[in-house]
Amino acid sequence: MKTKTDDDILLQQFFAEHQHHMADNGFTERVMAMLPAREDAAVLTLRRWRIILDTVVVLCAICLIVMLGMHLWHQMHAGTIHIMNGSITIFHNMSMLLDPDNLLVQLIYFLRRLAGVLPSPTQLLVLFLTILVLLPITIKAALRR
Amino acid sequence: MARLSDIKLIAQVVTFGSERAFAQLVEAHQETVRRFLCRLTAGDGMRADDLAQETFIRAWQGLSSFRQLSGFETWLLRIAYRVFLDDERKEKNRPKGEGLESLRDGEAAQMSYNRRQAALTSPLSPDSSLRHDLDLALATLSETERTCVVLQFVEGQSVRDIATITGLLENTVKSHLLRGKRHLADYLRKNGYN
Repeated sequence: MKTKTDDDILLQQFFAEHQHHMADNGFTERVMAMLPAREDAAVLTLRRWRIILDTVVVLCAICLIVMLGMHLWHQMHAGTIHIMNGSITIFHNMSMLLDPDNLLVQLIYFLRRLAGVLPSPTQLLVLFLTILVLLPITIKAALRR
Repeated sequence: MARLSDIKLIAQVVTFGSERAFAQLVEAHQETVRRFLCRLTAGDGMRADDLAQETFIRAWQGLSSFRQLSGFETWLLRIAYRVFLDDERKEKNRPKGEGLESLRDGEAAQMSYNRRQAALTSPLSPDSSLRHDLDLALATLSETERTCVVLQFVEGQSVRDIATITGLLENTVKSHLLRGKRHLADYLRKNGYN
């Protein structure tokens, strides 16, 4: 822990007493009148167009990712449901041999209905990984342009 | 880090070359830069204003190189310090016998002193005697000590920022500050400040 010395206290008091405000008094105007041309107007226009172009490229990349993600989602969803239906049919056939009021059978029917509505954790993971891989590549490509 | 309002204005200047945004930056920081240069030039307000003007022109030209590693004010003060050093160097290297400098050394020094006195005792500056004391006290320090002390006590900069502004190592800044403070405190005590 630093402690203030007598010198520090004396100097702080001295500078506090001698603090003064400097009004602008037209200083800013004089500076603005003296400013040289910073860059050609053409360079600035080009820069503006580049910003617009970059924005469009990034937006397109985001759209592409979303569309691609949706497509993959539907593909995976259909595949999963197909597999589940097959499995459930097997279980159903097997369950015919069991008591129809068996809790397991009821549970399987419930899961089947649920599978038509909700995505599986695997589907979510695949979608997340796809976005994770595609996003940096698309952004890099956009920036390189 | 630079203030959010500064960052917004800098972005406008860099991207769109907005002079209005730059004017706002000048207005916000002119006092700090001018006051700092005024203390470095031992109260020569006219010279300080010329140097401050040069500082802002350099800032305008090089704003796209501002990387926001330090505050905008620290960056400006760094430019101001370089402008001051360049000017000092020019003054020293200026061949005697050109224009105003055709006056002999003694006369030129007297004119410079008179100009400073005129600025200090101008009726427009009611606190001129206080400022005179301040500049006399600071004049007892070496140039680097004065810079470090002014940056710490007048502008409230940290040791780290002083090192950035002056381009010195932090430990070097600390030792300059220590010596400068000791000298200045001794001078003030001798002159009745307690």
